Amino acid sequence: MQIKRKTNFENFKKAKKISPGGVIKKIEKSGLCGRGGANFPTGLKWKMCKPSKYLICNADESEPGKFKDKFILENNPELAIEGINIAMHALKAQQCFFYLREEYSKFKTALEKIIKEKSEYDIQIVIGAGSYICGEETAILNSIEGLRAETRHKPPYPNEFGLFGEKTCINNIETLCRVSLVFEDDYENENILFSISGDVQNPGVYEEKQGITLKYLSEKVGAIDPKAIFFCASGGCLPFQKDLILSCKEIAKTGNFFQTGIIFVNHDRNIPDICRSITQFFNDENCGKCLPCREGNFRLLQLFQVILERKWTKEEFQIIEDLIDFIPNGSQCGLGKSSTTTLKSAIKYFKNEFDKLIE
Amino acid sequence: MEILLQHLQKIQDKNGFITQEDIIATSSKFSKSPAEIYEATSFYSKFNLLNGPKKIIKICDSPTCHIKDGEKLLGVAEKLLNTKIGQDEKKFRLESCQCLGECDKGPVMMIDNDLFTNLTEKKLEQIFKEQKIL
Ligand code: SF4
Ligand code: FES
Repeated sequence: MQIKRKTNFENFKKAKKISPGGVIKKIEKSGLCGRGGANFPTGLKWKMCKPSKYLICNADESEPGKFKDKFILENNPELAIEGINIAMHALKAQQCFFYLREEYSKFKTALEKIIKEKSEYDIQIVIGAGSYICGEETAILNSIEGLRAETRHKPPYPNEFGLFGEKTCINNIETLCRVSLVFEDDYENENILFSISGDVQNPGVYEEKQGITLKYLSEKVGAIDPKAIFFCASGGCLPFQKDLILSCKEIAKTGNFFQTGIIFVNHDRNIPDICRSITQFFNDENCGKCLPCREGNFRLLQLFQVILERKWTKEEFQIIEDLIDFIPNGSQCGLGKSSTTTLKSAIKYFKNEFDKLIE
Repeated sequence: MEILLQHLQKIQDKNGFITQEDIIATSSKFSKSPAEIYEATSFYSKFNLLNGPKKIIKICDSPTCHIKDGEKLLGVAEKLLNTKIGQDEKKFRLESCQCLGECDKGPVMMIDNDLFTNLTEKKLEQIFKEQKIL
């Protein structure tokens, strides 16, 4: 696994020999895209951010089915700190905030040790307090500033008006690790970390190339009697098909959003029931700022609780279908916009399971 | 730089909850109004603004743990502890929570800062006994 490589800060030494602009060009040329989910080209982001006062390393991973950030923190936190150093150099930034989700606070001491021994820049660790939305790039700003972690309206974007009103660049922790790896001779841009969970023999994190087939992955992880796969909670779901190609482009064609957390589901599982749990997730974790997301997800959850007692009426199911479009259309941020993606594809691909629940 | 979130964490970790007095003291430290501090504090699920220190038992029921019977375990925990989810008991509170980033080891539970993975009904009872909740 490239992500486990011990680089011993050699890559930072290489980067320092190049000008900040030169580093950005190298990252741009490598084709590296953000690994936080949005897949935005990192070089381009840095170009827009440079110079930044602050850099934020986002390790607030809380999407169900994703645990790759934890894998990095467990196995190679030094690579992340090295990546931060390279980014700080390229962005001419003054301070970095390393935002860790609360459940990962056990890694703080080890991180601080590496920072003290190796980092040339000021890196302060901030520990979250249990909120999924803090992974959103403007909510994280509010959280560090000591406010409710509601999202901010964009524009202005963080690269213009970010943390404490200063120019700020926000990168995911895996992205920053890859920044360091770009300086290795055998750098592979297509490598991504897959988090595999659900009905498999060997759950865990795998480093694989984008574009592998589901057949290959399912054999490797030992999928047990697979019926469907879910792309985390927000990316959608698909019936298990061996020849499915796991890449942003191919998954987008199916109406879903490629997330690197893949949950395998076997034939005994009930798809609408999984959707109920996903609805609960978005109901609990939305920041409450916009009405369609806050009330819409609440209403959806209420409707999903109905099936614990009885079947839906036709009208009730119609409301569910209406909400599936209404919520994303009226939502401000990515959470609201993606909160019904999975439900939508579940109804599309597993309509028979839903039909059984309608009067 | 002193960060509000971290200051509140310290109080929460030390005392197990955050009182009105803490909020007022924090507000003068950060030159903000108590209302602003309360507004921020109440947003985060970690901070306990309720009455008194107690063990917080969180069982994950996010999708991955859900398919591994996280919800069923919550029901078992309710019965074992003779409580309801979200209800304040003297010594503890049982909560259903969202993903803890341990989906490959689900179903999982956290009691304060301690993590328990690959739970079964039997294991649950044993942990409650060890933690002196039962
Ligand atoms: S879409 Fe939802 S999570 Fe996003 S800002 Fe609106 S209420 Fe908050
Ligand atoms: S879904 Fe339970 S830990 Fe991730």
